[in-house]
Amino acid sequence: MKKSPKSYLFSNVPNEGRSDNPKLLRITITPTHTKVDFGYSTFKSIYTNGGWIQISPETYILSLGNKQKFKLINTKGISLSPNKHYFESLRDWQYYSLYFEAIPFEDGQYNIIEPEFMGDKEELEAVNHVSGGNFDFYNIEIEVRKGMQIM
Amino acid sequence: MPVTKNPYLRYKAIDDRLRNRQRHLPTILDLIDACTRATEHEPSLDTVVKDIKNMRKSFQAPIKYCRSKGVYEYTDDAYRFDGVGLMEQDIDSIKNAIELIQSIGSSRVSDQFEHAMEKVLTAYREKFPQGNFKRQIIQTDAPRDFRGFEHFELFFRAIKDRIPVSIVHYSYSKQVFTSRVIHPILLKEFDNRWYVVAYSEEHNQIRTFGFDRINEPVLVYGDFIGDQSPEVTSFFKDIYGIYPFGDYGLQQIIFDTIPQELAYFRSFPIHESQKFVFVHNTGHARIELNLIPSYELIRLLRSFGSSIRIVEPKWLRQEVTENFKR
Repeated sequence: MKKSPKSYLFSNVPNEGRSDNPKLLRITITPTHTKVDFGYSTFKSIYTNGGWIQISPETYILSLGNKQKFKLINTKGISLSPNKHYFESLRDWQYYSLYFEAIPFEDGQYNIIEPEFMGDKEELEAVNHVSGGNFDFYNIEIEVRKGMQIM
Repeated sequence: MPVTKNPYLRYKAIDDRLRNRQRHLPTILDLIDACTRATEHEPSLDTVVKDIKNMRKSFQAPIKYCRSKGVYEYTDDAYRFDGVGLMEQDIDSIKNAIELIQSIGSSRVSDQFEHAMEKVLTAYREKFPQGNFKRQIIQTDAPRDFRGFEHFELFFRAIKDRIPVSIVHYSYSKQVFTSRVIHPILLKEFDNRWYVVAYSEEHNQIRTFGFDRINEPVLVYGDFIGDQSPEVTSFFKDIYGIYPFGDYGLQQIIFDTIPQELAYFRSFPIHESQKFVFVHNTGHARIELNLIPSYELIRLLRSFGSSIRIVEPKWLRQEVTENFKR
């Protein structure tokens, strides 16, 4: 596995998320971890107060090449389920980051998977049906040449 | 900061004692004693040891500890802790500048500036006592701790050193997040809000981004695009506010005002292009502006309510009056 002693940022990484909300914004590969930045807006929420967001602690990055999994190790700006980050209105937004184990600094394709929903399955499906929301992201394409070295 | 807690006064006391050739080289107890005399407060042993470390690190003070004798000394006689030759008027100017920045600037900028200036002033503190240094003379309505202001230093550095920045931007109107790489050119303040004017790679043009809408900017290596072209400065010269309204370009805007507002427009011109077309002896007046219409201008004109009446252009009259009722 190739690890760079430096940190690189990838902006607007191609992916096949099931929706653009949450939107995958940036990926940062460092020697110690992989940081993935997301943005979520409540404008499509079926809840009048904007609803809530959470992320399962079991979420992981899957390398499509060798099927290696990279565990979630930290979060910023979002609650780990079963806790929830609640919004107040349909005009709210949240920028948040998930920190995973370090993926190699080389070209590759990945999925980010939230394996199980810790809350009410029916509620989740109802929400996703209306809002088009689903967390999983597929075929995230990392091309080393597109990375920008962080200062 | 209370005098007793000001490390710079202790640094100066330590420096004075180290340079005093009339006395023997000081032990740590001698330095504690010197600090006590200077601040009228006895610092702990730990504090003075840390002070010596800080003097070495922050002021490059060549202080050596002689283990055999248990004393401290300067290894370079040419070293001067107060090596900046400031005159009395220089000191006053610096103090005024600090006070002014504390008043009009925001906390982060002024704190850093003050920290740096305190270093310079330390050596002169005895000659120029602090007095009412902290007394507030100016009060502005600039809000502190508003969203995004923590980015100020980063963008300032990016502009100064020509460094591209990766940002995540949130559009309030579209309610959409975007990841962008921008090349900052200018920091702009308007109505107590801060903006960065930058070349946007995604838009392939210069755009303005509100600090409050920017998340986690990151400095990245890369070729810097964009310079502070005359177009950027002339653009802000011709606009009231930040965001242009539509693509109207430079417009002649004419409005009438009631007598009660005349003094206001005379005292506080909206823009440097403001001219009085006529002033009636009753105090009714017609005012002309030549500028690029902006959202901020429309908001300002609406704030006058029925005290003004837009004459030209008609689209603006409609926007200010009729569309406001929606």
